[in-house]
Amino acid sequence: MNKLLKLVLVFFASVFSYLFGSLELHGQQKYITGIISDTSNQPLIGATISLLNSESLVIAYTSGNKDGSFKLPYSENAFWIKASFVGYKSEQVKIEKSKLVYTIRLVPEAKMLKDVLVRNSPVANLNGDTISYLIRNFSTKEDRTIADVIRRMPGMEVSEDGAIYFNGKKIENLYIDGDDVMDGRYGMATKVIKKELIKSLDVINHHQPINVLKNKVFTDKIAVNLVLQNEKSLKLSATSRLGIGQPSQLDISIAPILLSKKLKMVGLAAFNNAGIDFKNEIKQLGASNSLEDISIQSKTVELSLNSVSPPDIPLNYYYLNRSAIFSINTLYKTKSDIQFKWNSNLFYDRSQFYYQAKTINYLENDTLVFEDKQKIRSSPFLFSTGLNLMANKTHYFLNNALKLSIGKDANTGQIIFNQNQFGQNLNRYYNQFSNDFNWMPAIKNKGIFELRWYSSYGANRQQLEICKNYYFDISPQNGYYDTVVQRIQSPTWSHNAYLSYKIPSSKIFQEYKVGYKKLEQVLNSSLYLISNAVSFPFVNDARNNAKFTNEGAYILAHYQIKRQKINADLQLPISSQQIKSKQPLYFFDGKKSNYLFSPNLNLTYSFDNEKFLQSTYQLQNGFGDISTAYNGTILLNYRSLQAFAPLFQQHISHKANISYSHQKSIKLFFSNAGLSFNYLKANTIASDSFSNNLTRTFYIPFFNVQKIVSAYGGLSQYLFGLKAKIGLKFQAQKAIREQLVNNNLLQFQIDNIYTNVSVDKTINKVVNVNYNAGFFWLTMGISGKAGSTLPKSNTFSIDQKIVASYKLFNNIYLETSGTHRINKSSLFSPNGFLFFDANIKRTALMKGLDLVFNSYNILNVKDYRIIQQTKNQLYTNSFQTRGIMFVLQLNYTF
Amino acid sequence: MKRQIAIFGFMIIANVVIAQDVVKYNVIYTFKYVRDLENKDVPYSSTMVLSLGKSSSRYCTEKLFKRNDKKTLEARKKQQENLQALPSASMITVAGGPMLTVGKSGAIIDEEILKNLQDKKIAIDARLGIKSYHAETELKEINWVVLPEEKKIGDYACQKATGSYGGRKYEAWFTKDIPFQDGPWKLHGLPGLILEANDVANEISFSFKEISQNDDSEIIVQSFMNSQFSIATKIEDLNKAKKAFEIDPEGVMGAQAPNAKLSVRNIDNPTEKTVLKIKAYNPMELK
Repeated sequence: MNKLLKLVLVFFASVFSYLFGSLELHGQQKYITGIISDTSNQPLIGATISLLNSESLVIAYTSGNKDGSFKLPYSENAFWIKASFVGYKSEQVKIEKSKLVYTIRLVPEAKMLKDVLVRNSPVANLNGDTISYLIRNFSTKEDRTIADVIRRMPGMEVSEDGAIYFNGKKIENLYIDGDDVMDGRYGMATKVIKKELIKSLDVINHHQPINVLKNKVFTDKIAVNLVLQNEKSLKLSATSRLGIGQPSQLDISIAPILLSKKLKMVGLAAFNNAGIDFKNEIKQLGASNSLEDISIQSKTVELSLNSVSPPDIPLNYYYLNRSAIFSINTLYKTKSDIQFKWNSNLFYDRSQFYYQAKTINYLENDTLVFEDKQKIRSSPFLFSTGLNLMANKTHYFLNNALKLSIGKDANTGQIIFNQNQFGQNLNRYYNQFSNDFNWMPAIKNKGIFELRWYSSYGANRQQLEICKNYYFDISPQNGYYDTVVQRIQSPTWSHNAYLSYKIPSSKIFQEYKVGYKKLEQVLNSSLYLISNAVSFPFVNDARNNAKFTNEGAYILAHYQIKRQKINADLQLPISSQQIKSKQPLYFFDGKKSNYLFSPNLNLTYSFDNEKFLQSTYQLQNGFGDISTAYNGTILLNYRSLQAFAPLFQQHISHKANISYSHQKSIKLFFSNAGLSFNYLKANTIASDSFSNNLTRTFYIPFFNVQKIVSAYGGLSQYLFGLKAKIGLKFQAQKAIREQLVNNNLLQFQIDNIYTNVSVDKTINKVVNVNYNAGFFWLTMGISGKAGSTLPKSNTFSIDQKIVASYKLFNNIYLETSGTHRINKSSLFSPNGFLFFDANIKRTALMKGLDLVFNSYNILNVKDYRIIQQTKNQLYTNSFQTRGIMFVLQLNYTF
Repeated sequence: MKRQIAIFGFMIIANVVIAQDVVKYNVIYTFKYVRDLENKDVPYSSTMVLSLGKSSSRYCTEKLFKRNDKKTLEARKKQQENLQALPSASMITVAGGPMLTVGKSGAIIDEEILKNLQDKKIAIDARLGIKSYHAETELKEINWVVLPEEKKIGDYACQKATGSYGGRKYEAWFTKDIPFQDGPWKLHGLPGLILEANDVANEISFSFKEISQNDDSEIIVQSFMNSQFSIATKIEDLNKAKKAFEIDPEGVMGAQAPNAKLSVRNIDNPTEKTVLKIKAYNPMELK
């Protein structure tokens, strides 16, 4: 039936074309028309119809219409009419003089083209977008270590402390041949392993290190694995560095390395006095065996020699050090794939620090000025060791990590404080012992069961001695003594054990946990005054014999939903806590039981690929720890005393944040804006009282609220005309908090605005310039009963940095950087600083040898000053810097 | 939800792609283009694949073609399944990232052109830096003049035609032995496949390298690049961004990923880290 209809249609079309064609005959232009159909007379849409001359060359052509018809202008030269279509055999008909209408039927043909090269599909080429970086493809002659090569790898970035980032995301851990040899402290490994030992560096997305969880629990984590060139050989290699500089600088290191499938060893022995911080080498950058840290964070009281924080300039400008490090990391794997690991680190340093500080304390009817000038020598010593046993099998996961650390530091200071010159010593001893056990059996159904138990013990002993000429400004024993001694002893025990059950699903991930936590802390302290070799204790409330316990069971429900547009993560922990605090000296023996609920919600909604809305909410509920639960006064340093009222410190905080991000990436425009609120309610308030030489802070019962609101935003635009990128950041914050100062309740209102402008421009092939400027403005107003007499103050600072890099010749690179800072305050005279650095690198001097010349602080700035404002204090601190330094470095690998 | 989006996404693509248009042939061209008039000696060069269906086609780089090859996709899928846990891992795929791939003549752009000759539509997908864009527009007709000149390319008898597109005059060689009114890039509309074409200033050229038949009826003309993550845009905006990217790829990519430090991968010379900038940009389409 259908066929018949088509036939009729074709017929009518032919007739129509014929009539149409004939009509045209009466005009000037003649046309050739017709229809192209297949063998069953179905019209062929889109066939090609050409008129050919006698030499078979095309002179006119067209394509078939929807009904298979065509129309071509008639030409005297037209000799052939040819119809062709994909999948059909081409048909060529001779044009007859009188005939203007042609119906051509095409016969289907499976294989139409002759001489077609039939190839196999291309061989799989996985290197296209697989991130398995073959070291030889990315390294150059100049590169020595893996860290050098990583810097060249697309999407990889190494931060100053050695942490590796991939596409801006910090990696979870770095493995060597699948093993976490460094126990998460991988910074050192990349710097000492030479590139020849490694075949490739693999970036593992959605990294799931635990075999039992494989294909069950999805992760967003990224890990990096270094694949060995030859895992069978047991050859020792080493990298070494020798740097010599002015003024008498030395930087020397040697790192022996042994890597094979069964046994792996990475070691380092180094010394420097050129401002290099070796603590970065042993910094925990990744999680140990990629397990979540479940230790209970708690603080204890810290005594100090000074009251200033370090300056905000790079460490090597002011770190006058003599540091040594010794590190050894070994891993051994048995035939049955059970792994033993031993990591040991030893760090020793002798450093000096000079500063001069002026603190202005604004009081009700008075202004008190503290002036300090101090030279501190510190010699910290730290030893840490860890033993780890792990079996990562497909049917179970077992891990036990035992850790021990011992630390000691001796500090001495020579100080002039408010015209009194005296010496002081601070000695600290601390040690910590912890064990972490983890067991995960594989069970037949979908869920995953886990048992974990972490426990730790830490001891802490501190002694601060302040010597002759120090005016002890605490009544009733004010006066001069031979020595004032503050002692603290504070051991801490903690346990965290849980059982958890995870239900992985593509729709909603669920996790349920039942656990028990316990934190137990003790604080013993005493303050002695020594005169003529006779020591007697301070008569007032200057002793502590406090005990603090926080224990309880908790349950947690955790849900994760991942959808196209919505991404949500909800955690609902409920804990039953029992807090006990005992201070027999102050007749305080309290007990409190509470149910605490601390939910946490994180929600992201994407409108489309370029618009996102993100919101978070967090409720925190807490009782603090021993550092806020002692009642006897402690002399924290020569000018600060602190104590808490005998009651339970409790605080509740609500944190909410909402942010919107909008991109118009085709126009290279990026913007984001957000609002955040922070509300904190506490049952105690700090009460400061000032005397000529001392600040006494006592926390007394008084409900008070602290509110912080901030609005922030950022814009980034690429300027097509200038071919430069500009960025703008903005933040405005308003904070309100209360505090008692000399028994007056004051409300501090702090407003600050921060803006940052950056410009990035590549000038040509060899020069690249980056400019960054930040403006910071802060104003503080104080209100309250007597607050009006206190001044409203402003501080202002401008920070500018410009970095230019040049490629001088093929193997010679030069980088210069200049930093300029201006600090200004309504109460201090403005000051400006300019730091200038330059370094030149000459690579591949000879096989395995590089030469680097670094110069720091070329303008020889000898001191650096900052102005800061907190509550009712304004202070200006100046720090002595190292001055100009040159280091010539030779790097050699063998 | 997911299904709805998939359908919606399919509807967008459906304008240009004809459903189930099986790929009949894959034609390989060598593309040369003087992108920088001050550096005529090192033209941008790339191997391109034109996949021809009955009435639609896809034109893309050989690299993109290979990466999306059926066998490769299957092999990759299998490998990903095997490499979930670390100990056996040797290669894992990671999608995207601030990686700038360049060649000796500057930035390399992953680009794809889908033509629908029946509905006269064209879709262009381009990856500039870390973002993929999608633009659709009408397929502009080219008024070709066929000339009585003949030459043989490969085994095919070809005839010459001239026509203007995008402000340039092209000379094209087509063969009526391959009955597709298609050709490389945006060129189309001759009574046979265009095997060779160049503009008269000799700044752009496409030359035939190879043709192969596809026997797998499951392989259809479909976009490799257009996905739910592509950003739909206007062709004018895409051209503007493309120009900026070609002139200063590092700058554009730095603007796209403000906080990430991008790295350069030079496929012609892995150790070269500086990116060639274009001094006198010569657009393919002058108007």
